[in-house]
Amino acid sequence: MTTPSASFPRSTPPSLLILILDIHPLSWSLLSSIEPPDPLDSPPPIAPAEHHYLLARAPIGPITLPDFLNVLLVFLNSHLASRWGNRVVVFAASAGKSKLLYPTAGGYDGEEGPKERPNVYSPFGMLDQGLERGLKDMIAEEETRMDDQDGEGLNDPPAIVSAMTKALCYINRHSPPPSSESTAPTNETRILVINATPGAGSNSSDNSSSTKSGGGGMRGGYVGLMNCVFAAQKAKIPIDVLTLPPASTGTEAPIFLQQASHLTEGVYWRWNGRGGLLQYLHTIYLAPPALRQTPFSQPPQDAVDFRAVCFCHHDVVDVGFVCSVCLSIFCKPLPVCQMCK
Amino acid sequence: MVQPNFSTSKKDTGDGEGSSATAALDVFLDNQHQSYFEELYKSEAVCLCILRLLPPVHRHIVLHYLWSHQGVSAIDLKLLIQQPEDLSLELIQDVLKPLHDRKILGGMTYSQNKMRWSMNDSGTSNSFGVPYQPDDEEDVPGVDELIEYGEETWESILKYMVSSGLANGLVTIRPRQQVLQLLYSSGLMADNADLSGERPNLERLTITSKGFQFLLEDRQTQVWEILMYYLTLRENREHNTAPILSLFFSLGTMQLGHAYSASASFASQAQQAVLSDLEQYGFILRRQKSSDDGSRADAFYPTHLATSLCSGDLAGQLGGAEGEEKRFLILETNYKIYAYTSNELEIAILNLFVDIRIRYPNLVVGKLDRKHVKAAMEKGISAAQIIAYLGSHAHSQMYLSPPPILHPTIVDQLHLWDKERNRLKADDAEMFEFFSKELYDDTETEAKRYDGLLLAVPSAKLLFVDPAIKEPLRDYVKGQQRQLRGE
Repeated sequence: MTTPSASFPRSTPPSLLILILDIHPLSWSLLSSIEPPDPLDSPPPIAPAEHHYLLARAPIGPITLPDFLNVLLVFLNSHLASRWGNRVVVFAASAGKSKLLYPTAGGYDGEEGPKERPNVYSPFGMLDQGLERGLKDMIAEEETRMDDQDGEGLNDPPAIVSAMTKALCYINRHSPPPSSESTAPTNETRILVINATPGAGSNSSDNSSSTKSGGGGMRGGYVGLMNCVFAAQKAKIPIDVLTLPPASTGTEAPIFLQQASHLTEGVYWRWNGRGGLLQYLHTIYLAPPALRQTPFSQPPQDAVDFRAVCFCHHDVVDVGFVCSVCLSIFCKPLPVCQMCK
Repeated sequence: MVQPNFSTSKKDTGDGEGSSATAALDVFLDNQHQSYFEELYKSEAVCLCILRLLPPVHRHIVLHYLWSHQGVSAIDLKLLIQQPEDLSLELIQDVLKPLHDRKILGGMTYSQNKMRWSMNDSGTSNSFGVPYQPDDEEDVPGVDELIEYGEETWESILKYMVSSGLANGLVTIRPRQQVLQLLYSSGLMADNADLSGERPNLERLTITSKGFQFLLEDRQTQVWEILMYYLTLRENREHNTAPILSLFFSLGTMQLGHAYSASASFASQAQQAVLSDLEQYGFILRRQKSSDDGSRADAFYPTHLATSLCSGDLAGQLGGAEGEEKRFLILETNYKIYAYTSNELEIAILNLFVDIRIRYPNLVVGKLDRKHVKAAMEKGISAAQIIAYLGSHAHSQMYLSPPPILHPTIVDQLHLWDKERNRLKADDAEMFEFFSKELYDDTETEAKRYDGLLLAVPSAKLLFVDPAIKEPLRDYVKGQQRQLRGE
C-alpha cells in the first residue's frame, strides 16, 4: 500500500491573492447588529456530527469591521507566510466607489513610510500598516463625500464590480498570461471577494428596495459583473466568495457572486454567523488552487441560482426573453431589441 | 543486448528542484533532538523559515491547526486531506512525518505560540532584525550594489577553488584564512603535499572531487552546504549551535537593501563572531567605521545571498535580468555548446567538461567530447551532475523546442560515457572448484537459489559466489558429496 503523501505535490507556484473587501457602511452596520435568533423559532439541531458539535452550539453573534479586520490580517499574513513569493493585493469597495488599498500606490507623501519593527517579519508589517492606513484614509474620504452629498449615494450598492475590474486589470498588468516563449514558472492568481452586502430579496414584497439596490444588489452592474466573470474564466482566475451576512438574518444570498464563483471554479461559502471566521478562512480559502482538489477538500457548493437580470428593469427574472442578435435579456417580449435596435 | 535505461536518473535531474536546495540543512535538522528545536524555536524567524521549508501540503496542515484550540486528531486530518477513514494510523503518521521530524507536532504548544506571534507581531525575540537608522551622511548601498558585492565575494571563493584545479589558473584573490580553513575542513579542498593530513598548508590547497561536484551545484545548494559546513565546524569547537542556525534564519527573513543594527539584533558574543565570519562569504555588507580604527560600523546590510536563504528560489529574487543571465547555454544535438557568457567562473566551470574551441568577448563555443567528459568524470563529477548543470543553465531559446530541454541523445551519451568507466566491477568472491559435472550443476542451482551467484564457468567447472553464502553452500556441497558417495 502506498502512502498518501506520495501523491502530494512537491511544490506549488507563488500565488497572488487579490482581496476585494466590501466596506459598505450600511452592510457593516447590519452585520454588527445581528441578533441571536429567538431560540423558540429555530428548529432543534438535528443530531450534529460529533466534531461539529461545538460548532453547532456556538451562538450566532454580530461581527464588527475592526474585529473582522484583525482576523483578516492574520489570514493575509498566513497567505504571505505559506510560500516565499506570495503576494497580496487589497481593493476595498464602498458605496459606489472602489479603491486600491494595498500595495499603496504612490508611496507615503510627506510622512515617513511604515516603520519596521524587530519582531515583525517585514512584509507582514508593511501589509498590516499599509492596509490599516489605506482603510482609514478611504473611510475618511467616504465620510466627507457622504457629508458633502447629504447622505446621497449611501444606498448605492458596493462597487464590487468596479473593484473586480480593477483587480483583473491589475492581474493583467503585473502577471500577464504566460506566453509560449516565457520560461518562468507561471504564478497563480486568484480573487477573493469578501461580501458584506446581502443580496436584495427577490421576493415581491421588497419590490421598492429591489429597484433601488437593483436585483441582487447589482444595479446596472450585472453586465459588468458577468463580463468580469467571463474574463476571469478565460484567464483561469478563480473567484472565491465569502458572504458574511448569515442566513439567519433572513437575507438572500448574492446569487450573482455565487454564479461568479461557480463559473470560475472558485469557492463560494456563506458564513453561518457562529464565529470561527479565522478558522474558516484558513480552512476554506488559504489553500492555493493547485492544492484545492487534492489533497484538501472544499466545502460542498450549494445549488447555484442561475437566474439572470433583465436589461430593461434590472429585475431578476425566472423566464427571460433573449434578443437573438445581441443576447440581451428582457423580462417581456419586445418586437425590437432596445439594446441593438 | 539489454538497452540501458536511464529513465530514473533523468527524472532525478528533471524535478529535483525545490526540496533539494536545502538538502544539507534537512540532513542536519533530521539529526537533532527535541531540545535543539526548543532552543531554535525561541526565535519567530526560525518558525517562519522552517514552516516555509516544509512541503506545501504540510505547510497548510500546520497553518490549518495553528489557531485551533484542539489538538490534531486523526479523524479530522483524514477529512481534511481527503483520505479514507479506515486509513491505518501508521500511514497517517507517515503523512505527518515531515512535521514530526521538525518537532512541530507533539511539542506543538511551544512552536505554536511562537508561530502565532510571528503572524500577529507580539513576539519579543527581535528575530527579524532590529532596523538601523542610518545617518544622513552615511553611504547607504543600493540593492544593485549589494547584489554585486554578494556575487563578487561568493564567486571569488568559487573562482579560487576552480583555479586551483586548472593548469593555467585564473587570476584570483586568495580568500581569508577562515574561509580556507572551512574549505579544507569540509573536504572541498585538500593539500595534496600533506599526506598525513595533520598539518595542511592552507596556501596550497587544491580542489578535490567533492569540490568539483560542489561547483556544479546551483547557488542555493552551495550556500546551504557552506553554511552547514560552517555549522559543523563551529559545533566541534563549541557546543551550542542553535543560536548560530537561528541567526542564519534571521538573515533569511531580512529585506534586501535595508539596514540592520548588528549589536541590537544579535546580542551574544558568539553571534557577533558568526556575523563577521559571514561577511567574508558575502552574506552581509558592513562598512568600516569612518574613524579608521579598523572596527566595523554597527549597521549591516544583508545581501541577496542572505535574504534568499529561505526563499527556495534565488533567480526570482534577482529579478528577470539576473535570472536570464544564469541561462546562457545552448546545446545542440551535435554536442556543440554555445555559452553566452563572459563570466570567468562560468567559463572555468564549463572548461571542466567541455572542449572549448573559440572564445569571443561574450560567447564561448565548445564541444562536449568523450575525452573531456571522461576527464571530468575522473575528477569525480558524475554524468547526472553535468546534465543537471546543462539543464539548469539552458538558454531560454532551448525551451522553445519541445521538452525535454536537453536532447535525449546527449543525455544518454553522457550516461554511456559514465557507464564506460564502470565496466569493471570488483566484488569479493569465493571460488568453488568441482570435479563432477553433476555436483557442479546442483551447486550452481543452489547458489542461484541463495541469490549469491556471481559467475559460473561451466567449461572449467568453476563457481564464484558471494562470500556471504559461502558457509551454507559448503555445507550443501558436503551433504551432496555424502549422498553421491552413497552414505
